[in-house]
Amino acid sequence: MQLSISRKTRVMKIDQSENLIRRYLLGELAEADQAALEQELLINRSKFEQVWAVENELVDSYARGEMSRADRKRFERHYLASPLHRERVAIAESFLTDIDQAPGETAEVSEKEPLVHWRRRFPLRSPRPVFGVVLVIALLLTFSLVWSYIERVRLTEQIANVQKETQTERALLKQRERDLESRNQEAEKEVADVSRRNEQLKAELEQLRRRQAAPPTVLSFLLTPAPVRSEKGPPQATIPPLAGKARLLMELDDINYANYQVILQSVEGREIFRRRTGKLRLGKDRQYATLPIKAGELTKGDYILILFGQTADGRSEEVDRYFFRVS
Amino acid sequence: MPGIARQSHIDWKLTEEAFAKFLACLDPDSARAGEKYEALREALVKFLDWRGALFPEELVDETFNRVTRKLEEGETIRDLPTYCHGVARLVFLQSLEHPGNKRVELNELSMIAIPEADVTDVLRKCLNQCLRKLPAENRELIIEYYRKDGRQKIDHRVAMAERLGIPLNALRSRAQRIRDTLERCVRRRLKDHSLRPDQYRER
Repeated sequence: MQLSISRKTRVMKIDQSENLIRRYLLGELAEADQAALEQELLINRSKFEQVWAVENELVDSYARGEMSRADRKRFERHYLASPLHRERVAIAESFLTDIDQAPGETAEVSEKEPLVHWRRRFPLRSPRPVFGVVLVIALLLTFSLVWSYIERVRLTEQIANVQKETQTERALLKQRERDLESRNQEAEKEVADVSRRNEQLKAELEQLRRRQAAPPTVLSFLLTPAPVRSEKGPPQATIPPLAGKARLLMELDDINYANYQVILQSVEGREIFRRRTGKLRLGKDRQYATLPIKAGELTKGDYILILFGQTADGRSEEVDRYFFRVS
Repeated sequence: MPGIARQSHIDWKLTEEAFAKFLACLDPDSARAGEKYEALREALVKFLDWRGALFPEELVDETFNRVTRKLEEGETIRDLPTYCHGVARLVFLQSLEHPGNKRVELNELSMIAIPEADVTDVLRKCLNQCLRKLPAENRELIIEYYRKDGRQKIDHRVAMAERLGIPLNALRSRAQRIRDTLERCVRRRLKDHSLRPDQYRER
């Protein structure tokens, strides 16, 4: 009884081991499990041989049509995805067909049709022309794939470049906008400054105009007639050197002449000029003869001014003499 | 033994000295090192084959080249078989990046209806030639070993092992290697005919 249990356990272990190997051969193990099993096979030569034997059994079972439908599908999906494995199965199929047909004899070439399902499902082909055609198709496909890939890479690069350029242009435009806005603000400020300065200048100009419009200041000097020698008169008039216009005023008495004329002489008796004078009335009863003097016309020195009145018949009569000094 | 002076992907060439160093790392005894190397190579080739590699032997050669180069550069590798296994997995994964090495499921393959008689004949002819090329005892063993189906098969094999005076596992191993030799021979001959026995072409 105990022996039977031990045997059962061993059989179960063998089953588990073989199941793992089958899963390995059918590509159903994870990479880590595959690597672990291979590590074990490197050390355990017997197990390596076992895996190889299981592979051959799978191949033979498939070639002889002994595999269950589910196993066959798994086998076809993974194992037959390798061209090398397909070759192996084809060779096995041919070999097994021959020896199964000729039991007890040395295998010879037989014309019997193969039993393998995938051979039946996919008829064989004459190799050389097909191989050539397939090779050409494969080359074309490879070329188109490579070309597509290169084209895709190229287009991707182009798109990336365009995007990059667009971004750069956007950044430049934004920078330009900022610059323009900044310049605009500066220009507005300048315009405001100019406008303010303009207002100031206008105001100054207006002020200047007002000043120019105002009558110029004219200094008036009232001369008094020179006293008779016996008389003691007022002191001699003194005029400062004139920077601007000035006028000399001489009071007129009751005798009213039509016109008046003056002769200006140096104290030595040299005539400087002779001019007609105007008349100026101040108040009700005071009249003055006026003589305009330009700036710089009188230099420093003593002068004698003789006032003449012109009578109605054209004669000139001396009215008065005036002495004054420019200093 | 990997192809001496075979150019790896990184323009490094395997030299006799480098390979001797690789063997010495497997075992100080040159005879045992050779056996271990053959066993390691066979295991790695089968691993990659089982994983679905299109050219497992070439990938294993590349693996050994890379590992040998590491050793020549002075790298210390404690467990060489495990290290080689890790590199082989990496080389295999890298090979999958190449579009030509992608797996194509059977239902994705297209077929063209062309008479198969020629192909079948060529395949059988090649197989027959290769069977004849085998030593007589090997030919008989493999035919005998794979002859029976089902439960009969197991009994038949047990009887065979008893007759030959070897354990069943040893018989299985011997049959597998003869079968492998036969398969390689058929492939080579089909290649000479520009044929692939599976007759499937990718879409």
